[in-house]
Amino acid sequence: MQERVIMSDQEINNELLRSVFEHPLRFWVGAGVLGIFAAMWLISLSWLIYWGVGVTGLNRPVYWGFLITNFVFWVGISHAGTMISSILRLTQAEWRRPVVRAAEVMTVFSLGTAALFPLIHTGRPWRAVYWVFPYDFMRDVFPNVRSPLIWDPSAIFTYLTGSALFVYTALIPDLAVIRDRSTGLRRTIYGALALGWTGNTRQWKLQGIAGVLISALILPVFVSVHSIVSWDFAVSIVPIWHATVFAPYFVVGAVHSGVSAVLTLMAGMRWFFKWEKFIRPEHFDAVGRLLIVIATVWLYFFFLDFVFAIAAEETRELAVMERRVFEWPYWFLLVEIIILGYLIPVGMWLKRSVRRNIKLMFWSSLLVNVAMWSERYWLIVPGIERKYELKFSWSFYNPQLVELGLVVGSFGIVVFLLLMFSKLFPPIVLWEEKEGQRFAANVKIGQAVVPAIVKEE
Amino acid sequence: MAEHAHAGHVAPEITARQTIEDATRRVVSTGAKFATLDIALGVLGAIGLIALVLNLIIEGTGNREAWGYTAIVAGYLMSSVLSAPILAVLLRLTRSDWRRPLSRIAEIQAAAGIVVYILYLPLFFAIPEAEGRFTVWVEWPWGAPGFFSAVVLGLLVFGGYALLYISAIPDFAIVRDRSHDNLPRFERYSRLARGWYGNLRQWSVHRAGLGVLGGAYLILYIWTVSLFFWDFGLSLVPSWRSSVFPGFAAMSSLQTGLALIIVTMYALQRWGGLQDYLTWDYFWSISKLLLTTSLLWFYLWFSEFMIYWYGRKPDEINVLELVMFDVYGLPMLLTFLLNFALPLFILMWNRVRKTIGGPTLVACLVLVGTFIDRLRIFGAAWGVENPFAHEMEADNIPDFLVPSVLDILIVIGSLAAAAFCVRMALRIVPLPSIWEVSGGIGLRVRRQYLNHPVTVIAKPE
Amino acid sequence: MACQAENNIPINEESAFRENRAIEWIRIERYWTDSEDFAESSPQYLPMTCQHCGNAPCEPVCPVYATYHTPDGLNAQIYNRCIGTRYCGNNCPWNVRYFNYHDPKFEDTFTNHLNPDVTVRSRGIMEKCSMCVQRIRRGVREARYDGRELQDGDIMPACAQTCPTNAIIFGDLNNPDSQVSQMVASDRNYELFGELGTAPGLTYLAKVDVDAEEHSEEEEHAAVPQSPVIWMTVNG
Repeated sequence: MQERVIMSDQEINNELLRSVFEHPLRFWVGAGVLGIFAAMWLISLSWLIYWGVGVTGLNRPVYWGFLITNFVFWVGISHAGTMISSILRLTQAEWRRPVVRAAEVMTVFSLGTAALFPLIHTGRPWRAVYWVFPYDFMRDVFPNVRSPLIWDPSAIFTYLTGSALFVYTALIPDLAVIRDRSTGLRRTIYGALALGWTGNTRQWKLQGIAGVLISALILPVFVSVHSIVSWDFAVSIVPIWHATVFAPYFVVGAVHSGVSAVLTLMAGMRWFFKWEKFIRPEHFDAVGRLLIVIATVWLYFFFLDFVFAIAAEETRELAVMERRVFEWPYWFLLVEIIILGYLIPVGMWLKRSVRRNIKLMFWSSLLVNVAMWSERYWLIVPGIERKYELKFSWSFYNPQLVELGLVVGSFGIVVFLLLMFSKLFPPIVLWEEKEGQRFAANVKIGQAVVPAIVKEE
Repeated sequence: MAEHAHAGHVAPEITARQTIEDATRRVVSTGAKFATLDIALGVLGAIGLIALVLNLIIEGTGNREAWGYTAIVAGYLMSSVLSAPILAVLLRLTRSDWRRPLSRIAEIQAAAGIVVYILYLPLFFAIPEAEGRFTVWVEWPWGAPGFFSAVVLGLLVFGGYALLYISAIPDFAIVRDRSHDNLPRFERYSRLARGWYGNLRQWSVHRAGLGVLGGAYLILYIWTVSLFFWDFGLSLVPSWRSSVFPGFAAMSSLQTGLALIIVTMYALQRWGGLQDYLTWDYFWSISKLLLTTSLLWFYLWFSEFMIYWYGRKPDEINVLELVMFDVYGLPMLLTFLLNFALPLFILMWNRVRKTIGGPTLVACLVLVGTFIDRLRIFGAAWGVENPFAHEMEADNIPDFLVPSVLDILIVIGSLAAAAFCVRMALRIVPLPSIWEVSGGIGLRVRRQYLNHPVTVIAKPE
Repeated sequence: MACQAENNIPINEESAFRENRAIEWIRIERYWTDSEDFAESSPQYLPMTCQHCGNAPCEPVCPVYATYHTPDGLNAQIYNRCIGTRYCGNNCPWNVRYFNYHDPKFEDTFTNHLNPDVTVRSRGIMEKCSMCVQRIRRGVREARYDGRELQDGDIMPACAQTCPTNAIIFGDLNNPDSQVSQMVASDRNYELFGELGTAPGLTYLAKVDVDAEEHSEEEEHAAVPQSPVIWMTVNG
C-alpha cells in the first residue's frame, strides 16, 4: 500500500507554509468562533475572581469540583505530546512525523491552561503566588514541601519548560525557512528566533542530539506529572481516592485521552488546512492501533481500581461505591465511561477500514475524550461527597454556570491558541517530512514491491 | 558474521538452508553432550516432587506456613517460565523483525508450565476460603478463590503448550521431511506436523491461529498473574489492599520473563551453537525492553509505597513494616537493588547494552532479585497468623518465614524440574524457529543509502 | 451560639444551610437509632468539632503551612497565610474545616458585638475550631501574672462554659489530677476514627444506654491535648 506522495523539498515547503503565509476566509471564521469561546472563558474567569468561589456549586465537604476535574483532564491531554513525540522518536516510529509538532504544541497549550485551573480555583488566587514562588524567605515562610500541591506546580512547570524547549528545538530549522521566505520586520523577527540557522552539518547534528536528549529527559517528567496529579488525591485519606493504583491509572488514562485528542487534532488539521498529502489514512491507522493497546491497559487499571474499592468491603468505601454505581448521575457516567471510553471506540478501531476512515476516527476520538472527562469527574467528586461514615455532613455537588463556562471556555482557548500557533509557525515539521521522504524507499522483494523505511542507528 | 554490524539491526547473513541445518541438528542427533546435566536436573526434579508429596503427608494442607515456600517458588516460576512466551506474542503482534530468532526461545519456556501446575495443587487446598476474608471475590464465595485460579491457570499452562506447539508445526514438518532415513522419527514428526505442507491456506490459518492464541495468552496471562498474586499473596495479609499490586506483579513478571530469555539466549549462543543467530544486536534490542521494565518496576512499586507511607494509617504502616521495612526489609532492599537500581545503572549505558555480557549479567541479577521479591510477597502472606482479621495490628505482624528442609528441597527441585522440562522440549522442538528466521531472510535487502550500505527490512502488511 | 459569639462566626443564613456551606465550628450531628420506623427511633447527638489531631491529615497537605501544629498541641489555622486550596478540608475525615465562600456579613449592630480578640475571616480562606485559643492564651497569661501554676478549670472554651449539662470538659491531659485525665482513663473513652492513627486531641465517652445496654456514639466529654508548653511557661 503506497499512500505516500513523492514531493520535492520545495513543494513540501510551499504546502506546509500555507498556514503561515495565506489567510483564507476559514481562518478568520475559525478564529472568530474560537475567540468567542475564549471570551466566554475570560468573562467566566472575571466573574469567578470578582465574586469569589461562592459563585460555584462547591460546598462542604465537596471542596473540589468541575475546575479540578478540568485541571486533571487538561494535564491528561498534555501527555499526548510527549507520548507521541518523545517515545515515538526514541523508538523511531515512522508515522510520528506529521503529528509530532501538533501534539507537542497541544501539550504546551493544554498544560498552560491546566496550570491555571488550580490557581483560579483557590479562595484567594492573588495570594497563590506564595504557593508557587516562595518569596518570603525573610520570615522563614517557605512552601510546605510535604504538600502534593507543591509537587504539582514544580512538576507542571518543569514539564511546561521542557516541552516548550522541545517545540522550540524542533522549530529552529523551520523558522529559518520562514526567515528566508519573508521580508522586512517579519524577516528580522524570525531571523532572531532562528538563531542563525544555516543548516550545516554541525547544526543538524546538534539539533539531532538535542532532540534525542530532550526526548529522553522529558520522559521521567512526563510520567511524574500525572503521577503527582494523581497523588493529590491518592495520598489523602479520602476513601476511594486513597488507592495505590492511582498513579499508573492516571498516567495511562492521560495517554488514552491525550492520544485520542491528537487523533482529533490530526483529523481537524487535515480538514482545516487540506493537508491530505501529509496526514494520511496510514497515520490514523497507526494511531488507532496504538490506541487499542492503550485503551486496554487503561481498562485493566480501571478494573483494578474498581474491584479493589469494593474488595475491602469497608462501609465507607462501599458508601462511595454505592453513590458511584447506583445513584444519578454517577451510574450514568459509569456506563458512559465504559461504553464511550472503551467499547464503542475500541470496537470500531479493531476494524482496519474504520481506522482508515478519517471521519469515523474523528468522532470516535471525540467520544473517548467525553468519556475521559467524565471519568475524572466520576473519580474525584463522589469520594468527597460521601466522605467517611458521618452521614450528617454528606453532601452533593451541583455545578454552576460559571464553572461550566470555564470548562467549555478552556476548550475554546486551547484550540484558539493552536490556531494562532499555526498562523505563526508551521504545525507540521518541515524537516521531519523531508527526512521521511528521504528514508522511504520501495524495495522489490520476490515479486512484490513493498514500501520500506530506512532506520537510523 | 555480518560485515556491517555497526549499521543497526544487521542480522548475520544466514541462508535458509543453514538455518534448517542448525535448527534440526539438536533434534536429529540426540548426542550425549549434556546428558549429565539432564540426568542431574531430572534427579533433582524427582527429589523435589518427593519432597512435595512428603510435605503433603507430614503437614497436610491445614498448616499454611508449611506451604509458604511452595507458594514462593510457584509464584516465581509463574513469573518466569510462563511470562517468557509473552515476548514472542508481543513482538509478533508488532511485527518486529528482531523477534525471529528469539520467539522460539521465548515459547519453549512454557514447556515448564506443568511444574507450575503441580506446585499449585497443594496450594489450592491450603488457601483459606474466601468467605469472611477481604478478597476480590466479593459475595461470590462459591469455589473462590482456589477453583477459579485452578481453571485460569490450567488454561494458561495449556495455552503455553499450545502456543509452543502451533508455532512449531511448520518446523516439525521440516524435521519430518528430513527424516526419511529414520522411520520412527519420521512417524513421530509426521504426527506432530499434522499434515503440514505449507500451502497458502495452511499458512494463513497458521498465522491467524498464532495471532488469536497469542492475544488470548497475553490477556490470560495478565489475569492469571493478577488473580494469583491477589488471592495467594495480597489477600492473605490483612489491610494489604493495594490496587496497583496486580499491575506490579504483572510488570515484574514481564521483567523476569525477559531476563529468563536473555539468560537462555546467552546459554544457547555460548554452548548451544547459535552464535550466528543470537548476535549482540539481539541482546541490544531486548536489553532496552529489560531496562524499560526495570524502570516500570520501580514506578509501580513506588506508587504503592508512596500512598501507604504518606497516608500514615496505622494498619497500612504495619503492612509496610511487614513487607518492606522490618520483617522483610532485607529482601526488599535486595530486590530493589537487583530488580531496579543495578539494572538501571548498568543498562543505562548504550555501550553496555550493545554487549552480550552486560544484559546477561543484569538478567541474572533480575532472576535472583525476583526470587527474593517473591520470597518477600508470599513469605509475608503465608506467614500471617489470621488472614481473616480486618486490620493488621502492630502485634500481629508475622515473623520471617524460615524454610524447613523440605521447603528447600521443594524450591531446588522445582527449579530443576522446570529446567529439565525445557531441556526435554529442546530435544523435540527445533530452535530457532526455522520458518520465522528464514522468513526474515527474504525480507531484507542490501541497499546503498547515501554513502552507507544499509540493510532494508521490509514489513509485510 | 456561644461559639458564634466568641469566635466572630458570621451569621449563617438559611441559604447557607441549604447549600451546605454553613460555618459552625461546633455542630451537633443528629443520628437516629432506628431509621426505619420513626416512632421507634430516638435521636442520638454527636457534637462535632475540630479533633485537634496530634498527627493531623490536614496539616501536611497545605502548600503554604497555613494549617500547622502549635507546640501545645493545637491544630491552628493561620488566616492570612491561607490561600484557600481547600485541600485540608478534603483530607479531614470529620469534615470540620469550613471555607468562607462569601465575605462575612454581620447585620448592623452585630459589628459592635464582635470579639476583639478574634480575627474576622475574609472571603476565600479556611477556618475551623481553634479550641478558643484566645482564652487559652489569656488563661496562661493571667496565671503567669498571678505567679501561680495553671489550675484545672482556669481555661474553658466557650462551648464547655455554656454547656448546661457539662457534656464538654476541657483540661490538660498531662496533669494526672485534672478531670479530663481521669475521664480519659475510663473504659468508655474512645477516639472517633481512631483507626486512622491521627491521634485526635478530642476523645469521646461512649454512652451507656440503660435500656439496651449498647454503646452508641454519644459524645460526652472532650479533653484537651497534651500541652507541655503551657506547663513550661507556668513553671518558668
